[in-house]
Amino acid sequence: MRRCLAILVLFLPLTVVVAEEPQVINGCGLWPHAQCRGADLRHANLAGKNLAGADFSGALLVRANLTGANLAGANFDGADLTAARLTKAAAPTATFRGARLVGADLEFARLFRTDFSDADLTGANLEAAKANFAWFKGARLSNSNLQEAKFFTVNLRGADMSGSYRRFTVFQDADFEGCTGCPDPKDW
Amino acid sequence: MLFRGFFCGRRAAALLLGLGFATGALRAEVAQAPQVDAAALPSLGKAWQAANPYRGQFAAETALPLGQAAYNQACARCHGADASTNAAPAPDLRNLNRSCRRIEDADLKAWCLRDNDTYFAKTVRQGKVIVGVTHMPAWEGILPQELAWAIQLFIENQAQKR
Repeated sequence: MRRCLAILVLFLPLTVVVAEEPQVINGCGLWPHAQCRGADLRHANLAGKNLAGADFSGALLVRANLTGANLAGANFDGADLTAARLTKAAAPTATFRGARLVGADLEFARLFRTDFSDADLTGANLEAAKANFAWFKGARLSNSNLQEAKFFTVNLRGADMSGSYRRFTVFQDADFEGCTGCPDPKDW
Repeated sequence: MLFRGFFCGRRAAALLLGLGFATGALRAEVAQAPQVDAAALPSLGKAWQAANPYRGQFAAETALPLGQAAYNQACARCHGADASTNAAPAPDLRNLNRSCRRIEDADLKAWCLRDNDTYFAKTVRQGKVIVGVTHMPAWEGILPQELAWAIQLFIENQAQKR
């Protein structure tokens, strides 16, 4: 009997189902489709959160941690993501139009059909990021790390890629019209 | 001679049919107003509300059949009949508020649903254009907001029945 009780006590923490309620930071509820326009989320830990379809336009996300977060279809237009961590984040069809991503870490991020038009990605890390069909129209990618990044059918019109590190980067079917410091379309 | 004519006709018809399919694939979905009278619902005016004004109200009962009719005329083509399939070409809309449904705290849940309403209304009004490709047309000016909110209540009701 005593042994049974001991076993029960041992497994008690596992039997209790903890329903974790979503977090709220500075008036921003952390759930999919969250309306966090212009919210102050500097240094916030948003790692692994499901924020699909959320509106973060104009939000302050300086040094925010979005590692592994689900950002599918989210809106970061005009947001400040300076030095933010987006490693392994899933952000397909998200928009970062005119956003500031200086020194942001997007290593291994999924960026299929993501829109970075006019975004500033100076010195950002996009190592092994998958950006098929993404748009970088007029974006700044100077001194960025693009090692092993997949840029299949990417729109790089008017982008600035000077000084970017492009070891094993794939640019198949990419559009380099009016791009500065881009590889030669014939022999990238 | 008659036989040959028959063959030519068939071939021409097949060609035309093929062309029809080819242009059909390229043509974007066109938003057409559903033939549903929204007069039974409280009028909301021109400016769109941020959250669904009928949720939890007396009007919700009236909204359900109207929402169903409007949904099946305007949305079902892509999102599936009666919002009760996950095999349609466009996303299963019953999942839209899935995360909110799991929240236990009443205030947080209401807040989450309000955010979800804003997202729903924005998508309906602007449609979905992803890197220059129109996946869903804009319904602003075509679908009155009374019907849009009724459609949302119908979808949420279908999600509950699941």
